[in-house]
Amino acid sequence: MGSSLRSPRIYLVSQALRACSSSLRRLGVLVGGASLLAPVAAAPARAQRPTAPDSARSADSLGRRRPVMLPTVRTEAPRPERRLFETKPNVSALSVTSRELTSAPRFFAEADVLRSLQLMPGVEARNDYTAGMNVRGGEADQNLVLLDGYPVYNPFHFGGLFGTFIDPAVSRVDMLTGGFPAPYGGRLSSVLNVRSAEDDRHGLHGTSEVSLVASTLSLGGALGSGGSWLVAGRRTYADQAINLVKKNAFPYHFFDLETHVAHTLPGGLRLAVTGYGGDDLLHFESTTEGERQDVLWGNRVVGATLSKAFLGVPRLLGDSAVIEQRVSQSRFDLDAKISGGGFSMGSTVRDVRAAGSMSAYSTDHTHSIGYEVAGQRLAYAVNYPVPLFPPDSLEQRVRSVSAYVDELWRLTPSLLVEGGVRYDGLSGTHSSTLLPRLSVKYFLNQNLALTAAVGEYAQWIRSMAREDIPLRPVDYWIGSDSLTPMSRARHYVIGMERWVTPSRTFRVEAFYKRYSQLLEPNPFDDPQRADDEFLPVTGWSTGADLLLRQFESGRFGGWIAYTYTLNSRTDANGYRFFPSQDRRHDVNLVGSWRFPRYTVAARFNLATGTPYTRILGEFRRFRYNPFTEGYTSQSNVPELQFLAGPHNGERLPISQRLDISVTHNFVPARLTVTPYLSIMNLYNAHNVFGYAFDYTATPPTRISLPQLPIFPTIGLSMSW
Amino acid sequence: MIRPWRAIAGSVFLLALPAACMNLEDPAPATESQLVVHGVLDTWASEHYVLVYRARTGARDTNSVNVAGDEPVGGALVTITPPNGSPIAAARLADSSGACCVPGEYLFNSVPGGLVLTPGVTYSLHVRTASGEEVSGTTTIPQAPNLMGLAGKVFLRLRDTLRLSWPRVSGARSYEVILRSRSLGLYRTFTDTSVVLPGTTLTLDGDMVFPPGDQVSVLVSAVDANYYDYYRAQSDPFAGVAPSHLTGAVGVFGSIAPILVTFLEVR
Repeated sequence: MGSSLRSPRIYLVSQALRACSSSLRRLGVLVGGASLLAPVAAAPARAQRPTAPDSARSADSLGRRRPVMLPTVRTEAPRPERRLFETKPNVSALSVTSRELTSAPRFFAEADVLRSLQLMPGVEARNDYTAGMNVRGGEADQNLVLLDGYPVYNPFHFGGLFGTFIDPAVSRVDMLTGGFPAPYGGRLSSVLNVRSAEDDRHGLHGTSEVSLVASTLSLGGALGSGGSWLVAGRRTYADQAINLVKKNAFPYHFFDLETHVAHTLPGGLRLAVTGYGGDDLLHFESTTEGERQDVLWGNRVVGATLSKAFLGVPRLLGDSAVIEQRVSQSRFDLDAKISGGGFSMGSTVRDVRAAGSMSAYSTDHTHSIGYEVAGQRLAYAVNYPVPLFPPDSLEQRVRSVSAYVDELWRLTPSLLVEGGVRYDGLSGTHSSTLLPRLSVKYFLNQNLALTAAVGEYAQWIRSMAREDIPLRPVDYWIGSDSLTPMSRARHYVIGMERWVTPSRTFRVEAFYKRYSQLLEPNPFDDPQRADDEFLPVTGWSTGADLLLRQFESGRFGGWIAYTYTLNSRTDANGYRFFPSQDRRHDVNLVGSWRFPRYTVAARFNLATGTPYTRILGEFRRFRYNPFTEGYTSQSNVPELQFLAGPHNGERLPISQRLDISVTHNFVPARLTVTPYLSIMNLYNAHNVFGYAFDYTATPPTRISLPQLPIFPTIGLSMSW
Repeated sequence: MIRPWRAIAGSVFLLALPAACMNLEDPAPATESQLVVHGVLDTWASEHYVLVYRARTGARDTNSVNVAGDEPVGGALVTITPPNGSPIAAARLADSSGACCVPGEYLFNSVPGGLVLTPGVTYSLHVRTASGEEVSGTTTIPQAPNLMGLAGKVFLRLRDTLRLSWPRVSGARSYEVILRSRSLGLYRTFTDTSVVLPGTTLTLDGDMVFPPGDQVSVLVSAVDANYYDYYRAQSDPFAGVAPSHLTGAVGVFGSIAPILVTFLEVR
């Protein structure tokens, strides 16, 4: 059973156009009033050719001939994933739609885009408390996160428990976990693009959700005859609820506000504007001074894209083209001042960029060229040495220029090749690089294809957050300069993709990534030196992942994802170790069953442990006191010193968890009301994310630090 | 009759239940013992102490009367060798009752024939424990000029800012500013050749660095790389100990040279 598309934007695929139009001419079938089009997706893939608004004119002229009555025809649009399978190499590409998001079990009462992606093959989170994703063995700062193509630097709230994207405002999420083509750059491991929803139904439509944790409201509708608007907001209110019981017991909340407007302007120009703002706020009163202390961090993103499709392009280019121009500003700010500035911390990102592309389409080719000019102002400052935050002060301006050429070529009916090269140049570092990319797909039959990709990647912005620490509340971004070179990686991917049925796919891919000039934050960074913030690391990651996916076309939808990775890193001293994200096996079983009145969803995860460094002992650091000529041990500063064993020499135990949710669906009048019950970690599995060693006890003890326990929640969602 | 899917679901649930009952705390197995040495040479001190003890690794029993709960190492031979090559042995420190000796603490006196420090000179430390373990390290004392004393002044906490600067000292890796007051104890920070502290500055615990009614002594010292590297960094359970330049032990053998002293009457 196919799902209907609401007001789909309509595109033609080049080969399909030729086949359809020639067949129709042969049959003498005439179509009046509209071009013959296939509804395919809410957003165009790059290989798909848009029609110009005046394309109907030629069909009009045909329409003056004598009409022929056709019998009723039932058509079913192929899935976007199927279309991508047929038209692009599409190596290591994953996608999750809003429908799949809402039917998956909720995480802490919230349907979460980023948490859902962590259930996909090759994508992992170290634990429940991390704001990072490790993609195919890469470090957590190697992922480019985009909202409608605009970068977002810290897409998490509350130390990683929640993603920043508001579920009803998301239409789909596309992710490339390796071997991505030349238009994408700036990160070593993955690209994740969150696409805003565009609801162009007439009238006011929306979704309202109330849960134990947060309330969400999303409103949208058509904007004139060729556009849509959407505004969505979310705020947590656990602080207010707990305040009723005990004042200031939980002085934390976060909020998000997102808007997306798309409109077709005269002349066929299409303008899309996206805005996002979200903050985390922690506020409490100082014990001594009674003054209010605030810790605030959050993102602001605003971007606009102007695009136009052309049909009459020079024959050399093909038969149609799309030109697109983007501008955006993305900001991240963290500001913490505690104890009147006794401890202060700040992190700032100011990212301004302009980018453009032109893609020209013909029967067998898609030629693309593009550029990106970006400027970033990055700052980091911590004034006092406390664990987890290196005391340092850095301020940088990074300017980059990128350009690419990409060619998608159907060499034979069964062979697709996409090749390109990307140039990235940085000011201030005198470094520039050419990054070739190549991917191929060979169809053994119409449902089975072999794929392969190879590519070079570069990254010049990285996080000061240390990978070894299992808690990753936010990333503090710092750029390359004359002292810290670009990091590089080379990807090799081979795979096989098979469409078992029109709604079921199986994909397996093996990968190998080699890293050079990876830079890991130095835990003993000297604030009085400018060249020791990072330590050089090299290494490789290899493994395989598979995905058996049943798209929702009947009662059941879901997937089985398995990832195997093996990672190695070598530090500047030649010491080889397993990086902290080196998880050998990870299995996710995700499913949702839709019944007439209920939807039941479940997710089960089983994962082997990640490495950690064992603590072998501890001692107290004594400080010399020149006033007394003796030694003291200050009580107001943590002076405990930890003797560490071999770096990541041990592993955490296996973790496993079952989440379920039950949603009741009913439609009173024009309102769809869906109350739900969601239970995270149903059987309260004690999953360990770290150990605390206590050598002051006799005998010494090791206390396991648990991930999230069982968390039942209820909520109500209404849409109209 | 039970439906198959219910039986499967029930079985999975029951099988998984033990995972929820895992023990939170286990004993940590003992590991090899590790010597810890703290020794700081101060050009203005009349006595220099070297502390030798063992970290808690579970390798030996410890008792709470020892130095700060760690295990002091008595009976070690501790020497400091000046550039002339003649090692000076530490005296064993008598305890408060006069009995020998306070375990783990080794004393060097700055008297003629004892350990007299010269700026710019390198000193070597050597420790040999009764069980044969050896520790060594060196420090080069910053070439500080004479200690400069500034006149004390009244300091209005809510209005004034402490601003000090000093010339760079040869051989100094950094400078440590220490503020001492009756209420707070010590407040320390490393800096380059100047410091600016608003009167309202608080410590991490929210205590006032300039407590009203107190006299705050301010001492600035030039410090060597060993001292700076060891004390500037915080240890955490993921990184291990702060950088140590000792061989055979963790800890520090460093030196400081006070260069500026003053006091503030805080109001």
